[in-house]
Amino acid sequence: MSVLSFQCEHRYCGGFHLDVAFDVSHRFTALFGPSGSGKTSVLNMVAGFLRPQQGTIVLKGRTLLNTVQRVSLLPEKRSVGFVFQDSLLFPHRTVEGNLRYGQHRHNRRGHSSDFSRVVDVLEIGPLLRRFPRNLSGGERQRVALGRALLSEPELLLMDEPLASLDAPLRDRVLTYLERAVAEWNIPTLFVTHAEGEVRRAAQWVVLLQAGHVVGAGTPDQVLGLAASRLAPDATR
Amino acid sequence: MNLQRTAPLHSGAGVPVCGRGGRLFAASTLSVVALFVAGWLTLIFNDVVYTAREAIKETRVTETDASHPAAVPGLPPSQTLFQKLVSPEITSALWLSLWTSAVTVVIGLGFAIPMGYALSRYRFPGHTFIDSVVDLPILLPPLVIGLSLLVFFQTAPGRLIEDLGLKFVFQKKGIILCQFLDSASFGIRAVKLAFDGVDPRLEHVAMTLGCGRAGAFFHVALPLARRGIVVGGILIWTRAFGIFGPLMVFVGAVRMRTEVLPTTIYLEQSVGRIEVALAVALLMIALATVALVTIRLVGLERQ
Repeated sequence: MSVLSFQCEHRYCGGFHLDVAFDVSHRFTALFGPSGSGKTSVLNMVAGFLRPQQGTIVLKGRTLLNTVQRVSLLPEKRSVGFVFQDSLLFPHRTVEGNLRYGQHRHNRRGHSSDFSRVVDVLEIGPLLRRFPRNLSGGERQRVALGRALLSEPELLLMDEPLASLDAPLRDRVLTYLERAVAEWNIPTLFVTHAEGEVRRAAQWVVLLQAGHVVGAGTPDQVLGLAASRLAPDATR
Repeated sequence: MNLQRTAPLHSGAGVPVCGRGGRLFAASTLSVVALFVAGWLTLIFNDVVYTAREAIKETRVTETDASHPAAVPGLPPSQTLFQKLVSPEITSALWLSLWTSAVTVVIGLGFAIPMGYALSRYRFPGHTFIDSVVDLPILLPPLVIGLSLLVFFQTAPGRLIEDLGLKFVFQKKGIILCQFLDSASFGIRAVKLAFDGVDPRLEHVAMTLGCGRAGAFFHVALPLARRGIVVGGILIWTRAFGIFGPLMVFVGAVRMRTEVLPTTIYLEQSVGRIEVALAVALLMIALATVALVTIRLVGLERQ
């Protein structure tokens, strides 16, 4: 059964034309492609930050967007968690303040069991009283992931969450990501242009090029296709 | 000048300034700061010396007058400088300056925060034009504001406002209106820059966590921009506190009615009491210094 059904078209002022349609039915789906292929725009449309000129987005049977019926849910009503490349923790709140923010907004009761579970799985207990400026890149990404998880999203969107980390740290944080996604069983749409991350984490891959889907399948199928279709620098 | 002898010199980012070139560069920028501050302090010091000398001179004259056997009965005795400073006229002007400028800060920030946010976050047709109009009062001579207001209240819309009971011309409300129009642009500009410095994606994150647009503004953008908002408030207050030109045109210089401290300085020097004018100026400088240091300590250093 499809978790997310996405079909949108948007023409930017600069002439870039995005026309993308795909379904997400696996736990870990990667949006793969070179820079400028429209991956982040797709995530922004799902989250509600960017409204396409035409299209429909349906999440678990719930219409998030239907331009014909003039339905467009506000970002806060979509139940999607978003983890950005640069984590974007609230700098004026401690780690605990960041984590509790999502929890309180979504569920006023703020179950302490959920909080403890997230803290344990992501191993961020010792960081709770620190401010984001005192965290390393990997720690920040773990906190950002925890904050998104505590808002109990129906879909997790990640925009190159490992791109700003060095290779050893990337492996460690990816382990945390895999562990968390498995623990909460949240379908995840993961944007990347790193082949290694796709091979390791993704169960399904959607290949984008110049605003269009040029292939979809298992990592082996799509990476083979990508090697033949895209420029070498796109699949580093 | 050995910069390493005392506490280690740091750049704004907290990185120690090292190497001969770095020290030379730091010394040259700091010397410009020193030159500017020294120039101002020299001016203020001269004012203090002049005022003190005149005060001593007047005290002697007053004592002589009082003890003089030929003192004319019925005529008021000469006043010392301090007595002049605490006269009802000047204390009334001081109080009027303080409360009108405080009200202007509240109104100014009431406009600057939403306007700064809107201009920073939203793009709409005519954005550049409106952004430029906001800056107009910064470029215009302040006197123009007074003249424009005077003309406006002669027109039908202006008279309508006055008929509704909101009288501004030659009234205390007019002082606040002049102060607001003259100073709000500085606050709006500072607050807009503060919101420009807050990544809009932080508000997007707040929205994905279940917060509405207004919630994201109050919980994320506003706390992160508060430093710039404090700066905006300081700019509005300093400008409003020292305004003079538009007031002379729009509300006049009526003693104990529309007289603020800058008006007092003008009135005192126009009748030749330079020492009183200078003493009032020093009072303004002292008040402004205390207020600015306090606001910086309370509003900025804690962040």
